[in-house]
Amino acid sequence: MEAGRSPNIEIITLAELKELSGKPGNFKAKIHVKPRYVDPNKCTSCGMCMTYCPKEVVDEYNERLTFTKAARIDYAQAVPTVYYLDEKECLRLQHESCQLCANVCGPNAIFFDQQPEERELHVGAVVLALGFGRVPEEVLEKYGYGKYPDVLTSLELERMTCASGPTEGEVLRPSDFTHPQRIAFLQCVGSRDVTCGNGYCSSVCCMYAMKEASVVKEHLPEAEIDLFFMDIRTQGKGFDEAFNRAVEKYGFRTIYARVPRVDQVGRKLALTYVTEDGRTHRDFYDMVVLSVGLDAPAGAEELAKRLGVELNHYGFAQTKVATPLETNVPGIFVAGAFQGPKDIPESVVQAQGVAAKCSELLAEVRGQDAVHKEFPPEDEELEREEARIGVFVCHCGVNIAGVVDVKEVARYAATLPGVVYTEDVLYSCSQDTLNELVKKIKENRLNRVVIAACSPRTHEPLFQETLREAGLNPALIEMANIRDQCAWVHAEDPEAATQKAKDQVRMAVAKAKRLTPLELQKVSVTPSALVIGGGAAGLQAALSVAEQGFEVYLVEKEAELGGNLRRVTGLLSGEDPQKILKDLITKVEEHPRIKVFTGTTVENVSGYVGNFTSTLRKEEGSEVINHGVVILATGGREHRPDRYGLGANERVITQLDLEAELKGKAGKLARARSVVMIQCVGSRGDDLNYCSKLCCQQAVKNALRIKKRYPKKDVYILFRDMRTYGFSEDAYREARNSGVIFLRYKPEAKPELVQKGKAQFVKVYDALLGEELLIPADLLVLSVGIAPGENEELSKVIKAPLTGDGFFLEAHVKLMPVELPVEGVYVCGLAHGPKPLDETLAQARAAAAKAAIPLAKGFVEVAPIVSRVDQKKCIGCGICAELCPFGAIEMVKVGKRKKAQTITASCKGCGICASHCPVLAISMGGFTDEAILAQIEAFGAFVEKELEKEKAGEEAA
Amino acid sequence: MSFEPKILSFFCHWCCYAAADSAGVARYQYPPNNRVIRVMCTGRIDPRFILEAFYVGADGVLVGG
Amino acid sequence: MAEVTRRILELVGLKVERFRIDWASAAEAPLFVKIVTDFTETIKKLGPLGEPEGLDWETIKLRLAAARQLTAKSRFRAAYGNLARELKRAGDYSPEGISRRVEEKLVPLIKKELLEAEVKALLGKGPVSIETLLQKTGATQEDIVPILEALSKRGQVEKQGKLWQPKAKE
Repeated sequence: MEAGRSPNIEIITLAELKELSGKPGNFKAKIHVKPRYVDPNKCTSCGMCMTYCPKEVVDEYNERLTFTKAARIDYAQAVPTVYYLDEKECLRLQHESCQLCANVCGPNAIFFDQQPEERELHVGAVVLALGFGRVPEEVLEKYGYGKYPDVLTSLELERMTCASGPTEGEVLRPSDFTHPQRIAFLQCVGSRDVTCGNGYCSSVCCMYAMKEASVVKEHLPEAEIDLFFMDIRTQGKGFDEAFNRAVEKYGFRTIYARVPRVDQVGRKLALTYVTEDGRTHRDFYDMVVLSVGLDAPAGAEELAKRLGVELNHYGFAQTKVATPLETNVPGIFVAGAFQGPKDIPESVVQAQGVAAKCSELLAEVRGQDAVHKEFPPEDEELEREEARIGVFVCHCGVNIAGVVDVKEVARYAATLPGVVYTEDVLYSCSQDTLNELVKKIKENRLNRVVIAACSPRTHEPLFQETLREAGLNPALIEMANIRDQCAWVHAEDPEAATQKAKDQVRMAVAKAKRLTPLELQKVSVTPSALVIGGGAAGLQAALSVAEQGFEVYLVEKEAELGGNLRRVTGLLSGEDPQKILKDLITKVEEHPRIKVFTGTTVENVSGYVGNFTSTLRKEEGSEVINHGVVILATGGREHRPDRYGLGANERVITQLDLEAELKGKAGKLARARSVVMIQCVGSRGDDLNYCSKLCCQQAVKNALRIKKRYPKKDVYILFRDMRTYGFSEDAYREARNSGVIFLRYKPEAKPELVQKGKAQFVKVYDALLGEELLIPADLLVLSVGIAPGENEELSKVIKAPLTGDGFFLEAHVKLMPVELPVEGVYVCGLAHGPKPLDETLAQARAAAAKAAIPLAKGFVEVAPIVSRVDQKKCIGCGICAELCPFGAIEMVKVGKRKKAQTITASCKGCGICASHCPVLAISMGGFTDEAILAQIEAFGAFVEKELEKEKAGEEAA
Repeated sequence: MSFEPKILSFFCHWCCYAAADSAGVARYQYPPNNRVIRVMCTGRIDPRFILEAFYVGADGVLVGG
Repeated sequence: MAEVTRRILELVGLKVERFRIDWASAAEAPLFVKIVTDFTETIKKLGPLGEPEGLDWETIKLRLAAARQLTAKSRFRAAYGNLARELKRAGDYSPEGISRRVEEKLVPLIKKELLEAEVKALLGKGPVSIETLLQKTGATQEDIVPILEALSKRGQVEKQGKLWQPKAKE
């Protein structure tokens, strides 16, 4: 939606890249655009064409679970929000009969004779974000898919559980439309399966299965759900916690077994499977959900061939650990699932990282050809008039209207004082509705707008922009949150939800009446970045910001650059990590725009986005620097728990110690005949509550390195869940094939270290044998996980919160994965959470991309929520100046008296000053006393009405 | 009819208001008795607002930071 | 803020449980739900405003009117602001520290202002006996007599037999 609105992004749908010539910075791209048969500039997405289209077709968007029309839009929020004709299905296009849609189309937007178009684009860089493809149906057939109707794919279930989907959110068995009572989820369908050619792990299915199962439980609280795993791979930030919480809350049964087939027995589906103890089970279910994996995108091979881009043996883009966003062709970059299966946060990180990559390449021509959005001047006269409020109540499809009686709310709003116009709209945020909104504001001369829809946190900026387009000050809007904080959370009580929606609308109207136009403030930006931390993340981030054309101060507390990566001596891909690190360091040290401070700590960070001032302390003294943004790349540290005698027993080491062994003489390793590795030592619920994401890969990597160097040595890996997600699954398989022995242990029966004379053993329970094994462990290697660095101090200085686990909390897990809640501060690498090197490097670029935005713009706009002191009322007591946590109020001399004055750019709008002013001389933009008191008063009206109702009830009784 | 309390809440934009939004996204369910006023920070809350709320008849006032 | 609000509510005669301040970060939706649910339950158990307090709506209205006036008054606000400043300077945000300072610096002022406003409001409606005043304000004899005396010294009220009444302006 945001991309669709940007004047600098042209979205060309129904298009294919046919040819690319030229070189990085100067490509010519030939694009073939297929006809839509609907003119997007004329279409108002009224839907008449679809209503009248006589041709029913299977709805592919809804996973073939329902029907749609040949003239259609796939879903209401689609961008562009424009209908199209399905060429293959349209009666007119196929058989020259019927032209109903053209007859009913009000704006005459339908053109049956539209021809394909060839376009040539002049571009500097190309990004391949092809997404992922589908697992072929043949693979699903062995699980009875296609044969037994109640075997569904997870994608089908996803559509089914969607409130605006084919069953309106109801979970039904396709065979008899009843609610399933027992449901099984089968994981790794089309993943981790060499028989279907997909040897890799799709990385996202364990989490989405948990999510889907939870949604099903919300709909069908009685349902019993079993999930069948090979391993539970919930390695992302906070995922383990979310997974465990869901299992506990909904009582899911998790079973370690790969179900080989599904049979239909009567009306039930039978699963026969063998658990790890060797026992065979047969269970019956009403519905079986196949958690399908992420395949390589369709058509990728052909496109890759045209562009000369190398693919890996699974058909995904081939990239390196050092350059995770680059293909083998210079100037052609890659992001998202096409680079390898990944979830939304990872994809967004890569997308932002690739933006930095493009920005580095094209830094010289930045701003050329950019279009700046122009707004009409504000109608100040209208703004000064008495409030003429327009209230727009949003259905949000069925999200709100499914619970709240939207029409009733709109009717009610019309009765409120000051309201001159009301309307209920299907999607208030869709582009056509926004255009309508502008029209309605002008037609009805509205000077205040209330939108009753979703959260102002996500959508207020959108509506503010719309107001500007209509010639109104953006501060003249108030939102009533009747979705996130009403319809969604009171789904079971539509009547109360409708009442609440009415009350919130009344309160919003009361506030809207007291809104005043506020001036948007622009503050200039110091065009430089402070990067804290000189490990892989900090080096890459610094380099990217510098390459994009800005000065960087790179601060490392240790005497040399490199961080944790200095201790890593090998990578699964075969690349040399020390070479990667050396390259980074050399480039950073030689870069004219990067100033490196080693042996330095950041003592104080004050200021705000665009204008920070920090003190860098070195042993010799300190230096004060000014910078516009901050990137936190403070890293993490190896967790060294006091377990298995680590530190005391020299035959017990960590994986990082082992990396050193493998690089050097390997004395300890050479003496050992048998090496045992234990995963998750101190992690996933012990000292560390989380999974460190990379230890499984690391263990497999090191096991393979041992096997390569000493093929005769025995290597055991004791694990809870092997989390070799993505393509590192290949290495896991290779390790097993080369004789590394993998044994699963349960968290309640952890392996123990046993000494017998001089010999050292690990005792562990083997489920298959049903007995305890004593494994020789001449060398015991612990996978100890990654602990957060010393983030508390910095978190306080910067006022950015940490997660419960001690890592920096991003502003939004999916949409803003490298931004912190504090504006102008970004995070990457282990400071954000444990992750392997390629992900760290991609994330560092993402942080650099985000950080470069204010630097490139040259200014930041300060939201007009800041405080303002009425100096006539001010008595100069100075309480506000002293209480302000941001140092944003100064005392100045006005005439003979001292008066308070706000430093606008420092002000965060918290309002402590206003709530403590003895003479009520301070007003907060958008949150004035008058506005809040009006809201309270409007709340009171609800109370009075209730009281009357009660009285009436009593009297009647 | 059981007593349905009338509660006024003041939520901080960055914390509780955001948590309330996430609760919606996650479809958690809770009693529909509260009405919400968004503020940029709990620091904005003046004892005056609380008393005003009771004055107009709130049975309870919740401030969420 | 919370402590001051609680003390005012206490002096007004309302259950302090009716006001709660709690924290949930953006990442803590489940905690948020718990807070809202618990609070709603608490209020449900307490019952409608005034019921467990044994106060009728008119009395509550009278006392809350005094309280809202108080919180807008610069005398109170200055003391409140200064107290916040003092706390910040001392860096003492322990519950005990806050409570002690509020007790010392604010409570006497709140008490006096509240009573004065309530008495004035009651007298505004016509002559009242001291018994009615005591009952409506919930104050003690020791608290109320000095206020009446001060008011009469300022020539704002006068005693006529057993009843107090506002003094007509001459």
